[in-house]
Amino acid sequence: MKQRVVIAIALACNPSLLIADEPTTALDVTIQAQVLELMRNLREEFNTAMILITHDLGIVAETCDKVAVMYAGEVIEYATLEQLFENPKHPYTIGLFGSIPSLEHDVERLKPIKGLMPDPTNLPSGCPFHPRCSHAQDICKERKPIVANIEEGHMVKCLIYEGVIEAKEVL
Amino acid sequence: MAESILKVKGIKKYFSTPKGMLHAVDGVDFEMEKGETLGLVGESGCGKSTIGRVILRLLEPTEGEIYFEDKNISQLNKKEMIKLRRDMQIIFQDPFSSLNPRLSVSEIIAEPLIIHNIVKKKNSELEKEVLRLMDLVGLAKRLVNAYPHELDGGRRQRIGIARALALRPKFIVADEPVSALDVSIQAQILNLLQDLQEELGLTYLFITHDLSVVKHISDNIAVMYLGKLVEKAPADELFRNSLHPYTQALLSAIPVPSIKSKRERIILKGEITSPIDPKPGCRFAARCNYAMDRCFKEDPELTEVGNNHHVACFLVEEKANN
Ligand SMILES: Nc1ncnc2c1ncn2[C@@H]1O[C@H](COP(=O)(O)OP(=O)(O)OP(=O)(O)O)[C@@H](O)[C@H]1O
Ligand code: SF4
Ligand code: SF4
Ligand SMILES: [Mg+2]
Repeated sequence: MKQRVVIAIALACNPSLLIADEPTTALDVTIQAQVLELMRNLREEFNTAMILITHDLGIVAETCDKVAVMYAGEVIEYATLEQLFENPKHPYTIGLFGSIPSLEHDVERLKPIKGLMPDPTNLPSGCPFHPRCSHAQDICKERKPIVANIEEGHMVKCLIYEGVIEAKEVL
Repeated sequence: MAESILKVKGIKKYFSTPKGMLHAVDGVDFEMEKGETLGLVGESGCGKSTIGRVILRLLEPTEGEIYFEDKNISQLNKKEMIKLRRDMQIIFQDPFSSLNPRLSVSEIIAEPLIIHNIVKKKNSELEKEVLRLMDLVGLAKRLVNAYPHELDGGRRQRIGIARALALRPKFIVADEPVSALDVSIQAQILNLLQDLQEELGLTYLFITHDLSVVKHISDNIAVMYLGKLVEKAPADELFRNSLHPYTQALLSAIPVPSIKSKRERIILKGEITSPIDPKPGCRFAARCNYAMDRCFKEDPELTEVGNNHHVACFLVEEKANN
């Protein structure tokens, strides 16, 4: 209820951009479904753009048109919803999908990303993901990847897509 | 049929509050087999943790009986209680607040061994046992003298698991053990719990509100609403063929991280009603799209409809009878 009031107040000013930071994280799924539907309807009515900050890929799939995936303070992959879910490219993004239990496909064991998030005050050299990346090679410790275009609207920061190194298996 | 390890019969737990009697758990029955994982799901405040605590006798049930390995554990003396503690353990959601901040990793893991007189304080056997447990849960040896606050959530949860395993229990209540963790750490801990279960033949009551996690980890799932079980079935069966209107709405509300599955969503009206002095009738009636007169007067019973699938709903009952 409170969350609905907050959303209503935010939209009452008729903004052109709404930033929603984990708007449903504290809510139960049935209430979350109500709030997400409310946000969708209001957004259509007022034609408001929205930046939705979330860790829930399910909510992304339902709500967003474009997705930016962040790791250690940087956007490491940016794509349309279809591109990201059908064809994720960055090893971190692929690892995220492997970590979530799926309702559609049963697996014996999940495939988590190894290791931990780095300390933000002491980020790894080169590609910040290298200590956890199963494709990392020596050069990843030194060279910081720049944006590579995979196709129209799909960008990745990883040396594999700069053509500097080869993936250990097909991504 | 495999060996039964736990049976709960008509458990109720009421709390008296200034506003009236709060029915946290209001008549719950179920049975678990050795080596099984039973997922207990439901929304915030529906009574999941209370059930877990009553089963472990951390809370006294208001009514009802609990059998562990065919022994009635509802009334035990102190000595029997201590013995029971060895067999039944709990892993908590928030690894931080459940660990004593002044103790080091090895002290935390050793504590239950000392309290239960399994090994003497400060001998090499204790040290060996602590290292064995740390290895079992994937904690590096070098962390023996670390303190919980120096560690990340995933490692803290590993300490909580090592501590729970110290007494070599048979049965573990895991109360939201991964809810506070990032998805990749969550996956690491889920894999660990599954490995440990295979290795040690553990039985888990796995409490969570995360339906994807529960489907992944459970053999059977029980769905709870306002102190009662509304449906219980094998995990696949529940997701393929849920019958209770609340379960159907709950499952349809999960946001699925896939753009292919466009599912029909059932949006429920209203919010969970208060568990204080609930009115007679089906607890879900106020929000149910199918509620009939009868639903506001009588309590539906959890009844088997075949295939180990149990439902508490008059609509389902009437369909089955016709
Ligand atoms: N010691 C207590 N005194 C009074 N009320 C209590 C007590 N413990 C729990 N309750 C109430 O009992 C109900 C069930 O609580 P419980 O913690 O079992 O729910 P839960 O399903 O575990 O919820 P969550 O998903 O939020 O952990 C709630 O309404 C809660 O407020
Ligand atoms: S640049 Fe190297 S370490 Fe970074 S994601 Fe790509 S392969 Fe992995
Ligand atoms: S018993 Fe009645 S109110 Fe309860 S779930 Fe079934 S149809 Fe709905
Ligand atoms: Mg709880």
